[in-house]
Amino acid sequence: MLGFINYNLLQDGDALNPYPTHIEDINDVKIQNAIYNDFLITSDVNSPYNTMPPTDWDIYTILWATFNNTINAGSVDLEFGDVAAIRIKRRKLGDFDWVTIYEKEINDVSDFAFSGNDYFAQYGEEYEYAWVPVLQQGNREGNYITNSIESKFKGVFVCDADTIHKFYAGVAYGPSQQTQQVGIYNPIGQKYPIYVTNGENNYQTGSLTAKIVGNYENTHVLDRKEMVQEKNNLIKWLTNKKAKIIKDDNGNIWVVMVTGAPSVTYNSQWGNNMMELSFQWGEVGEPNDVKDMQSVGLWPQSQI
Amino acid sequence: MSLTTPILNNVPAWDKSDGQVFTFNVIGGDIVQGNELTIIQDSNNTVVYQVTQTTYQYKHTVPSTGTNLQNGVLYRAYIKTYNGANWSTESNVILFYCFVNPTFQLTISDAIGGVINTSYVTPTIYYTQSNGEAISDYRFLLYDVASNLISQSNVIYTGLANTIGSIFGYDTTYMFQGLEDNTTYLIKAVGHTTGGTYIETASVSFSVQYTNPEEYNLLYLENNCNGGYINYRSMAYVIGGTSYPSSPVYTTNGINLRSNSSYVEWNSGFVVPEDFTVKAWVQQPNLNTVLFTMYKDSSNYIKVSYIEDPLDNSKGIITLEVIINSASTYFIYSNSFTKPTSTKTLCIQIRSIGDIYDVIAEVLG
Repeated sequence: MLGFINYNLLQDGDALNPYPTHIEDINDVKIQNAIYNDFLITSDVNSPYNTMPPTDWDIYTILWATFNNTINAGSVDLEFGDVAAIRIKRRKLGDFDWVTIYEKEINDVSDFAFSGNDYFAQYGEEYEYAWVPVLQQGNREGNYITNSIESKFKGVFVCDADTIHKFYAGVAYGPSQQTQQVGIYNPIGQKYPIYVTNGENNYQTGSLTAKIVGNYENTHVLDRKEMVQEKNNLIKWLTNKKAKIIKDDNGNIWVVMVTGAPSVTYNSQWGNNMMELSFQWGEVGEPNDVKDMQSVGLWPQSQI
Repeated sequence: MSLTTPILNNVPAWDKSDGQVFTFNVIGGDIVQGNELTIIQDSNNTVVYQVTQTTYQYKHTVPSTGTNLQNGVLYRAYIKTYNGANWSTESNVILFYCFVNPTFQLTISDAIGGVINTSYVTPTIYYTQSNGEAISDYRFLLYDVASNLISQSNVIYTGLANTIGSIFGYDTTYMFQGLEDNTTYLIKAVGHTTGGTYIETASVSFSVQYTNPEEYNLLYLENNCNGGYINYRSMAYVIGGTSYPSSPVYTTNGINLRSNSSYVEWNSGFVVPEDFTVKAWVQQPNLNTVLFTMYKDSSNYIKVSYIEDPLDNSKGIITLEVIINSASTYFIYSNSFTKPTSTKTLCIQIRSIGDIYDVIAEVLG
């Protein structure tokens, strides 16, 4: 009808196009002219109409004001300017000490919402995570909000803080050695030597071998180009001189450095596209020791 | 034997504060013991750099400081080689620009807190260069967390191959589809400027989390069995708000905004999604007034009002008006309802799906 009211009288190509009615990126809401008990904006458009106010936030909630002596409409009763950072902390369920595994500086109100991955959780362990605001005033921590989860996975994984590689085809561990320093002093006139064990060294070494199969687990296709790319990426990553974690679904976990030269053997019966990667490793710390993990750069340094 | 004429290789545009290594090739002839690179400003034939370097290598390093080179200027260069006694003839001449390093950034605007709730992502690149050097081509690269390249766009040519000489900003988007649930990806963009400089954005990480009905917790955790990691997600949303008067009048159940010019406004910490539901529980609404307004900006907003039913003055209706580019483009009203008394609560629901709106109002109790 508006087409007729206007002057084109349906004579141009856009005359019958519908008028736009949709507004994206609404980020400002103003209420007035009533007593408001609750005000809710949600992304849930499937629930049938009902007249009951919500009782709690859910994952669809965008904004919810209850006006309980505050006009805050967020999921947390904090003011943007009061918070310097948010820390994500972790501990094994039952342990006392928390470890900061991620810290997000708050420079904008949108910084409160973030996500990340914890690659270092050991198989079969239940972990408790905490969301901790660090207040501007005095750099002190606010209330801990916690949640817990059990770590379960399948396969052998090698990871650092940013990257995780899964090995699941032809994975084999080489013999593992517990290295310690024991000196033998053979004094004259004595049948047995004296063993000197004042060295602190005590670490494991081992090796890992696995086939490189690209994304076969998901596609069930051995893509030669993809396998070569994976091999090149792995070699580059394994030789970046940074500490890594090896963990598996038996519950083994080691903090290691790759030692020696990673090697690739090619199977000529498969046209040299089937490759087997091997590398040796030596332990550089304890996965549950905060100082060890921080000193090798796997966990961030934290002030608290 | 004598020296043969060296062949000077082309160099891309470079920032004078970074320095540059010029490489050349020599086929046959004496052993090269040194070289002299001459750089001339093309516009006025002034020699701005002429330095001899003693080296057996076929390269000449222009330092990052101490030269008279200027960014934003076109130069030509040639090289001569030295065998300890004699100089070769001059090489071929190459042309190059010095330009300030461009700004080349990638953002994912649809990722909230690093998480997207859909199977597609639309990264945006932004390019600008203060000397007016345009971007020539670029492509987007998508990696998994193991840094394996899993998808990439075609090389996208901007059609601006010769655009030099004016301040120029460029931004565009691309869509990767088929992203898997509960998976983390990295995206970056690479490209070239018109001067041939290779440019690369920082990698931006994001996780895909299809929307699932789960119990809400400020700290959302999920075990990724296949990926071998635990995903944590901060679901804290701080939405402060402002009010007039600055100390609002609270009632037993809420806030009293009935007096003239009282309001509460929230304008940061949230973005209303494409499809949404708004619900308000109000008492004593002022007749023939705007109850709430949802703004994108002052020209694009949705206005919800309470008016008297024109067919029955004992009843009221809720109206919704969509204003786009300052013009009213959509108008809808609710069912008619008996005007609520002072103790009754009016429940209003607005639902928007795509371009369709629905308004329901009901007096409770």
